[in-house]
Amino acid sequence: MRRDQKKLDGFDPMNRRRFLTMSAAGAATLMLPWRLYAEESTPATLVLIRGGTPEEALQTALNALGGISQFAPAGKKIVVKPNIGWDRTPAQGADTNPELVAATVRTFVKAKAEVAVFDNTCNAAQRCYRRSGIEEAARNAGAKVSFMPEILFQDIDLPDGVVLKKWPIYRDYLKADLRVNLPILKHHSMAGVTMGLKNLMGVMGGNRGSIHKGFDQKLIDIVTPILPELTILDAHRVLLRNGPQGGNPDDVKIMNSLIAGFDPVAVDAEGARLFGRNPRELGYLAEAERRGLGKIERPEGFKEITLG
Amino acid sequence: MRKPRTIHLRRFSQITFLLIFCILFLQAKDPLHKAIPPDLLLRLDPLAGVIVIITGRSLSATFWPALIVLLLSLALGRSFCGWVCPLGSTLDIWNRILPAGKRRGNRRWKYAILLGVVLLAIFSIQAVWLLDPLVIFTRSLALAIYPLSVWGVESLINAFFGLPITEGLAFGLWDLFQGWFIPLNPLQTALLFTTLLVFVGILMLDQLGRRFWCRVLCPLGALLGLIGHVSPFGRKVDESCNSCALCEADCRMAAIEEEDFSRTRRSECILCLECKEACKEEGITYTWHRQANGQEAFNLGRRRVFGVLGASVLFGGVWRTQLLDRSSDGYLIRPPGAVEENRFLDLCLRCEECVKACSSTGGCLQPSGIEYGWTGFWTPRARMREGYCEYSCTLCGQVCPSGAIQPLTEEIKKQTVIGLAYIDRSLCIPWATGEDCIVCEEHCPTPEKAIVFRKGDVELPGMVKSGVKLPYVDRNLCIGCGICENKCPVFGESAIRVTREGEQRGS
Repeated sequence: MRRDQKKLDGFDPMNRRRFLTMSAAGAATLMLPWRLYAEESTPATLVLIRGGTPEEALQTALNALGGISQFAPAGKKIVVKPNIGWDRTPAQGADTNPELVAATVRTFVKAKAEVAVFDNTCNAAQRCYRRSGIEEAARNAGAKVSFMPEILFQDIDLPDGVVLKKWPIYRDYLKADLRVNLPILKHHSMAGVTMGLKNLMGVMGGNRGSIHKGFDQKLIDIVTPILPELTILDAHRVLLRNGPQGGNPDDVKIMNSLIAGFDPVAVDAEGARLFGRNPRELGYLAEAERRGLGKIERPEGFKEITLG
Repeated sequence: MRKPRTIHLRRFSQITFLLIFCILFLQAKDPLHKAIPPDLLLRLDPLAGVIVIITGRSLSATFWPALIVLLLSLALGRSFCGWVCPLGSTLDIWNRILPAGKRRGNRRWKYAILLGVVLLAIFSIQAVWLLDPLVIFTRSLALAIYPLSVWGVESLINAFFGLPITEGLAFGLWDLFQGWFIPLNPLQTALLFTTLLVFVGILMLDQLGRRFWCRVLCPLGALLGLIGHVSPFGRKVDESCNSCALCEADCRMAAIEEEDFSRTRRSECILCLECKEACKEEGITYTWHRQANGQEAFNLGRRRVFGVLGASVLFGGVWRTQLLDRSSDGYLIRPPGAVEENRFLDLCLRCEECVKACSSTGGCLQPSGIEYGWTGFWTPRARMREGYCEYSCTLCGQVCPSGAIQPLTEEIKKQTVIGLAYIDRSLCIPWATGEDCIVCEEHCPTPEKAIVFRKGDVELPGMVKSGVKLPYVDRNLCIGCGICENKCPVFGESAIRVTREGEQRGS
């Protein structure tokens, strides 16, 4: 073939291979940023969201964690366990924000799950459920809200227990397919700061007051076999003093934040930092790490997102 | 023979009012719907109203519904007893279970009892709580019938929870009964037997004749009878009467004169209409019809009146001589809003509405026994170990018909002191063992906490523990609500207790 004919034709059969190679190289180049982008969005294991409404913060957090589809919630029995412990209004920061409870319930109800909401309260249950706004919010969002009849607490064995060997736990929590802990971040006179691990006391029966003596050991004894799969820590309104029940709205700081994760110890540790305390100073948290329930140190998969 | 319709109406009325009063009783709980007051039955009671006004020496507005009953009695005779009174209805129903005996007993006694109650009231001793039928009915519901019914339903539900097959049914029943019927707190059962005994006693008196209580003893019946006596409405017998005496034999109230069956003792007749049904000649009607005065029982005669006066003085005297146990007196804590103690004892009907309402929330109010003297029997007191006074609750004052407990707003109630807590350091876990606890401090509801803790040293055998969180009660802030005493995890006697020191009583 003559050389000048090659240029005139444009497409040179002898350069087909070159063309194909260059196309392949071009396509690969185009694909490259996309794959890098995919690498960047590996789900986090612990997220801190600042700003946004509770609904927005929750959705951002759940997406960052990989979405709830990873739990395959359709048709499953899910327990959302907020803090409804005290006969207080949302502004007083003693119970979980009802808007967050509603948003959480809605998310799982949309995914076709059966959601149950309950808490073993400190004050009279109807009052707590009512004044906190949680009963109405959760019910409207599609959850089955119930009180906890005495008879449904079952003794479970605590094989890894150091001090306690047995404790009554609410049966519906034990039988759930998925447990979502939904505590509020607040001051606690005895424990320092109360978050997710301590919120699990709301599924415990028995003489809970007696747990306070030798608290660090006893709490970890009981929560070890009943840890939730997902913890969402409400830090929208944070009670800074006179916790756990507060009462004076001046003790509450609007922080507009949310922490979520799979490792309950990591979530609590992050909550402590947000509160302004060293997580290792909280006896029960240190004990939890010591016994292998989780890690206090911020994990690799930590992500902080600020919403506008 | 075709039954007359009006008697069906009477029975329907009895059952309806019985149900209404039971439902109202159940409504004395949290949340309280103020549209119809749960203590309506007691507010309708003219005897309670009159006596409370005399002993309280003030006009009580809560008893205005009683005027309706008085007017009703004026117009329609003693129909309240036959158509409305729940105790009367219960006796009529009871008769179907255990047929009554032959009629016995002297109708005069109830007028003597009424006179006695009024005399005692003038001596400033209130005795309505002992002898008024509506109070007895309410108290029997609150302390005996309701707790037993709840126990029955709960046992059934628990049994169903036991088997996996019936579990759904158990949940269904639990959802059905919870809220309006089953209280969330464990039921108080103080004085259950005594109260049940009195109630069953009244039922069993019917073995001495139908409606024995109503006919022979009831002071409210006596009062309504005195008024009904002048009523222009009543039994009328026409010429078809053949003196067969069926009506007189049947009359449960002995209201038909034995000598002349056309004459009725209007102060006894409760308009039950049984005579109208019994009459084969259909000669009896109830209509607006004046009749000449019958032979009434309320003419007690001078001797009997003096007898009643003497008995009242004796009763009153014995009542007043009380050696008060001063050591246990400190733990006599009255509900928030309770008036000064002597006045409280004068006003309190011992109806236990407050106890019922409280059982739906904090659950601290219980009836006293004789530990504070006979005068305190059945009066409400707070037992903090069993329950506590829920911080935002104002139910007791809202359901009290007599004003023994004044209604308080939530704002004021949260600042009303009913007692003060003190810590027994020999029992308290941090003070005695150096271990952390402060459950009391955690539960103290006042915004500026009345229990504070300070880190301190505790001397133990062989060592000193430092940095122990030790609780202290701030007696300027404590309102005596008792949640600390209730939640204290120490076995048995609580390490922090409330006494009535510093209590603020209403006026």
